[in-house]
Amino acid sequence: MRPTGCIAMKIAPSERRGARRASRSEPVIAFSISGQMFAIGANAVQEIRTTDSVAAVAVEISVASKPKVRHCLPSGRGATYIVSGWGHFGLSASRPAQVILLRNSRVGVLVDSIDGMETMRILMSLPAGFCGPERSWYRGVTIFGENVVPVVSPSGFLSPREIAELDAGSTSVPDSKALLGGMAEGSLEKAE
Amino acid sequence: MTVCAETTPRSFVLLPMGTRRIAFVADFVVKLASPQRLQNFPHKTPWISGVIVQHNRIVPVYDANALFNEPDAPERRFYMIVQWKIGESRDLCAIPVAGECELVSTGSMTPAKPDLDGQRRFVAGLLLMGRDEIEVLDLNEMIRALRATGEPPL
Repeated sequence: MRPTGCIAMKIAPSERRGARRASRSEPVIAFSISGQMFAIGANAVQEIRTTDSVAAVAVEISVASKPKVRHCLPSGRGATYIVSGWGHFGLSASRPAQVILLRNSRVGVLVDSIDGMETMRILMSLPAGFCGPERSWYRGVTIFGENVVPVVSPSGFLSPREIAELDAGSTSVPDSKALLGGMAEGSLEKAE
Repeated sequence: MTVCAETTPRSFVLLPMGTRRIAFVADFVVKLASPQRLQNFPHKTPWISGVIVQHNRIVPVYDANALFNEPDAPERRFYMIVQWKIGESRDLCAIPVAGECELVSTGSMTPAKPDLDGQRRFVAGLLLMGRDEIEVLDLNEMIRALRATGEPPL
């Protein structure tokens, strides 16, 4: 029996909706770009390679409307486009050392370092206050220790329309290996 | 029959903002949170300066300069957590404050004066505190304006 005067309190539906989250644990790969940590679902990653190994087969391309994409990996099934991580997120220029090739996708992402595997126990939706392109960049945010870490959306790097634009508009730059050797930040050149 | 103007007492939270004081209807103010580490990640929403974690919930911190156009506002020490709602979107936001907030429960809000120059379209009403006339701001409208223009609404 409930004591007299006791007030039962429950969370308002709007509060619950605002705090939408997934609590099933999921393995993720933590990586860094320009000092900022990100996470990506492990099942979204096909392969992680060094920029060294990719540079041997990469072709430099130039599409004026997509400065964040400067290389592709030619393939019979359509080129895989390599997106500069710092260019995509608008971070300061960095020297990437790894390429994350996404599963079931024609996209790879240049990152500075792979920081390891983590188990994501909670995924919180991006607060509604954010209203820029970050809404397509991220699946949400998670917390590692005391740090808030954005969980990237694999489809947020290049949309199907952008890939079609790259297919239609990319022109390979002649003598790309010479250019590769001479490029600085954002290139596939090995990080020093 | 006598028609009375609505004078239902409501509670308001007053806070200093630069050279003036502003107020919010207390119903929308969730709490005053203690100082904590402001965290950030890449985004393109210019009026959000970072996020804080409140009870396992991510709360965006709104840049007071962008919101209130107060470049000379004093150093912020606390976060006032406020709820807003625009259409189907609703969220919490944290507004950095100096900590000198005041809960006023006896005041009644009077309608704002006619808006001749558009400067008071975010003012829900006026709170009379002695000789002071304090603007009660409509955060929903302010955020709606920010989203539309990206410019400080005040």
